[in-house]
Amino acid sequence: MDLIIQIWPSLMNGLQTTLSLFTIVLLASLPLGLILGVLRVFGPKWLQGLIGIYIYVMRGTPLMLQLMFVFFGLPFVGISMARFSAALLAYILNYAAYFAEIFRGGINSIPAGQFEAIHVLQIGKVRGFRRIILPQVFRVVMPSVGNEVISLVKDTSLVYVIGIGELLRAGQIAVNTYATLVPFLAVGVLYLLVTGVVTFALNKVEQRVEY
Amino acid sequence: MTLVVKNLSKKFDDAVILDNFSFKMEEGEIVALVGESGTGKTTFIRILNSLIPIDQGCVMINDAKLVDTDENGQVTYTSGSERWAYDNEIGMVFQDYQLFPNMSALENLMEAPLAQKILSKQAIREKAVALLEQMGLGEKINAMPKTLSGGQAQRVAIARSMMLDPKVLCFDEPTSALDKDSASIVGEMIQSIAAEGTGIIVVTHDINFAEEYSTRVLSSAEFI
Repeated sequence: MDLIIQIWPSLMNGLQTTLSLFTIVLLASLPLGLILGVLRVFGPKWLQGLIGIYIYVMRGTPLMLQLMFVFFGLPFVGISMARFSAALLAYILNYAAYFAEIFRGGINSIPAGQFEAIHVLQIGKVRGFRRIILPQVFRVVMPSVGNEVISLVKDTSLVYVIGIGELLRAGQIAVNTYATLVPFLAVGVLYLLVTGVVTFALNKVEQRVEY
Repeated sequence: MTLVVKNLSKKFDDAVILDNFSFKMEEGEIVALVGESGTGKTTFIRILNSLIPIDQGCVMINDAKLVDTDENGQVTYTSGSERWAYDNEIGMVFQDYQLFPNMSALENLMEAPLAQKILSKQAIREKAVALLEQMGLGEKINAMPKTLSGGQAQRVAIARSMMLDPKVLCFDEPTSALDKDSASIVGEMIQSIAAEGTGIIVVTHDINFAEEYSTRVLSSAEFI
């Protein structure tokens, strides 16, 4: 118990980093992924191809490598940024790619007849997409988006490679310092708490997009 | 109102669906389009609703043109206000209804006129409610599509297409998923829409339905 109290502040510090990284990445990558997914389906051919290549690169290489590339690699071409900004950039680009693929799949799952009905009724492409297609897409993609959101909570632990101290890193240091595995246990419980809250929120959202 | 189709041709790869086909329909007519599967019945009404592009020909309702072909064989679809005038005159009820599943019956009806802003929201709502009641769906106004039976969904789809007061209304196999009683309700509904002056084209496999409710039967064998 004394040990827990002793390591508590550093764990909370780490948790804060984990949570802010998670929140900002999620809020940025979801809309970006939606835009990319829509453009991948409806955009001009050259843009569809370009986004296809981007998604291929983001999904085809490890997130850890991308993280190192942004923080250690980009300075060689004159772009250097703070550790946290580098982490944000890498995560947002990576997650937006996954979300784009999910949204693309969601859009493609909507029957062609829905688009035809929008056309025949002269509802207009933009309005029809916003009011008729998108609500159906959200419903279809929610389970897959939920998976990615949970993954993101845990993927934030990779930022240690560019020297950012987050929750798992804080636990690791405590384990080394006090020569006991108890901090890992505490870290595990904290991750479960976070994913528990996230799962609850996802269920709420899932209920809201249901019709 | 007159729907005029002149010298219409359409090929899919090597399959000739329509070859120099001409057709005319006046208001109040109910034309039943019959024929074997794959002979282009549905293709024809999809062309009229600009869901499929044509190879050659001309389509117009009164003076409003959808597409024309000049002497050199150059096909030109209209755009802007000219196109809007045509699109406004024609409607279609899909075989599988294609109701918007995220909207109630009432919202399904209101969406198109709301998008076009031709009436106030209040007037659109009143018109939609009146139409649904007229179709015997007074209790289903706020029902979601997934809770409707096939016959009810069909009637919502018909009511939705009538919200824009089309002069030409096309039906794709309106009775294929319905039992005999529901089919006769739809048949009578089609007749009463025609009685208001709308010209109707019904694609159907059901030759009895065609003979009972149409004013003219056209076979897709005449397309070629």
